[in-house]
Amino acid sequence: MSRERLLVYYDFDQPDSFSGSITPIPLTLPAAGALPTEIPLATVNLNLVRPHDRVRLAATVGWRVVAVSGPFSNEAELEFRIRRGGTTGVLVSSARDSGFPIEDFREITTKFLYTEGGISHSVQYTLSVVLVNAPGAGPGTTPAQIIGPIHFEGSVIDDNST
Amino acid sequence: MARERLLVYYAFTQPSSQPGTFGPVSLVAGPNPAEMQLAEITLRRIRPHDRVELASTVGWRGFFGNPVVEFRIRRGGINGPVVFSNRDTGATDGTTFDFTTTFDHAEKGLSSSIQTYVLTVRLIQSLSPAGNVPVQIIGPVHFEGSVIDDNPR
Repeated sequence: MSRERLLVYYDFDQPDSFSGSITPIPLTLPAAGALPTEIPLATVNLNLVRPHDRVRLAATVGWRVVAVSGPFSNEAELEFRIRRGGTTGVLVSSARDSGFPIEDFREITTKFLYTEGGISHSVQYTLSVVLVNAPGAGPGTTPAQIIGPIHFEGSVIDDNST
Repeated sequence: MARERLLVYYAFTQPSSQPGTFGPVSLVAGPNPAEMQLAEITLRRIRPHDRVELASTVGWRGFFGNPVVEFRIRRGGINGPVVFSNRDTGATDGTTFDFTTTFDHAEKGLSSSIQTYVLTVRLIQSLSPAGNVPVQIIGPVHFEGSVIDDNPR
């Protein structure tokens, strides 16, 4: 008897495939008291989803810390976010990563996974990033940049055979 | 009505499943650091509208300085075009530390039904004198590819 296959839908968005190829997207420290800007990076659209399916999302982002207060200064922390339903949709997942500059920069790749269920029909997910901490960096400076790659994918996986 | 299923081919290679069981493959500092091949897979049954998704996990060790490594995926072989790259940095604080870098890449519109992909790594930056070895690839090394049919309407 043939075995049931589970992958029913897949979409990916890869605005950049290489480290350092795009104009860096700056993550700038706002003025004191202001919230940092959340920057959308990629979007996937999944269709034909049923409530018992698993929706599995995977994101890979290349970024770097920038020493704005002198070499080896200002460690920076980013939060990557996945929102369902557009750039202002509900926050369903986030992951943080940090680094301190080696001399002037520190290049880092962050990848994370998120899976959920109970989704019906069509759904859009947005991957975004926001600067959460950069002690030692002053307002208006850019202690981190997205330099690529940017990869975001979603898989719709049928529930398992019983 | 039955739902169409999309995964049509999957291949993986896992020359090492734990740190310390691979090579080690040394990355030597110098003006033109060598690009070292770590793994290779071949995907078949590819059609132009398919998506090819590649994923990799590599464990590596930094001995000194704060080395930057770049992982690349080449299509076709070690001399094929670079289709993906990403960088990671190790903070060794003057002593030996281990790191794991993992990433995904996808593409589509491939014209040949059979494609070989190779995973490579090279040293990008280190403050080490030429001839020193600031990084070794120690494992695990995991490289996989999936061929995914285009979505149903």
